[in-house]
Amino acid sequence: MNRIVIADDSATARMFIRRCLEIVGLGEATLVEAEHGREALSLLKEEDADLLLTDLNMPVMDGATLLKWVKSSPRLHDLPVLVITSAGNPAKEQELLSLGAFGVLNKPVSPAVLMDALKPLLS
Amino acid sequence: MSEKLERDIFSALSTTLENMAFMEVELEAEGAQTYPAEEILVSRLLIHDPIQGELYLGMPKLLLRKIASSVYIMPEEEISDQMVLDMVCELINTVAGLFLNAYLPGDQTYSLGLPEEITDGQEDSPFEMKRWNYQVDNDLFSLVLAGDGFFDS
Repeated sequence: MNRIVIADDSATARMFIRRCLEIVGLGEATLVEAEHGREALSLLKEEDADLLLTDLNMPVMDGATLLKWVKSSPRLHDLPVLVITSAGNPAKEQELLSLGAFGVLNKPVSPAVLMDALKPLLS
Repeated sequence: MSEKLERDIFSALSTTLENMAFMEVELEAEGAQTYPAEEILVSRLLIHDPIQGELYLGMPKLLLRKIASSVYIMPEEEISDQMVLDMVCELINTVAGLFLNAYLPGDQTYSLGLPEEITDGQEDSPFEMKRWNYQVDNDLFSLVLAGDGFFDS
């Protein structure tokens, strides 16, 4: 993977995800950070990415809206989107998967869980 | 108030701090270090649905600096005030999600607000409130849950 976009309004969460990505061996990818969905969308339009990791509950544009935008864009449609949220449960997960999310993880995420979720993309 | 509520609150806090900073949360014990109000940072998160309520997390800035140092892998003296503030907000966000996932029956969905700092350091809720005191590394901190619907039974 060359470029990964991380969208979360919390700098702490972005740093934590960055650390997890480094631990699972993706530290050499270019990790780009956005504070909300709209900024993430701008970054994705600017340059292609291989993965989008997004929070749900964000100001300006939330993660579910970002996911819908990505999946409705002909250029971004195939981009894998992994949602990492503190507001996830089975019903929410189903809703996000039906919107096209690649996976849904609950915070606090661990490197092992992240690795497991990304396995299909890494193989 | 149900034992389940207390257990779910403690479990959410423990899981959050263990996973993020490898720190063990304990119940308040005699001799725990307390701090004056001006040394405590309080964050609040509104719970919109299905139960209306609020969650407050009040932690000493020194403890938050330690936690942030562990998350950012940086010396404590290099942790900025903004990082400390962001830390307490991310902690309450994560705790709230874990707590509601465990507490609400089945796969009931819920809706949360965005975490915010309480600048006067006071929890002031129109709802019934319950405070729990815990400690990490002997530093005392508190979590307050407000919301009539949480204490009905």
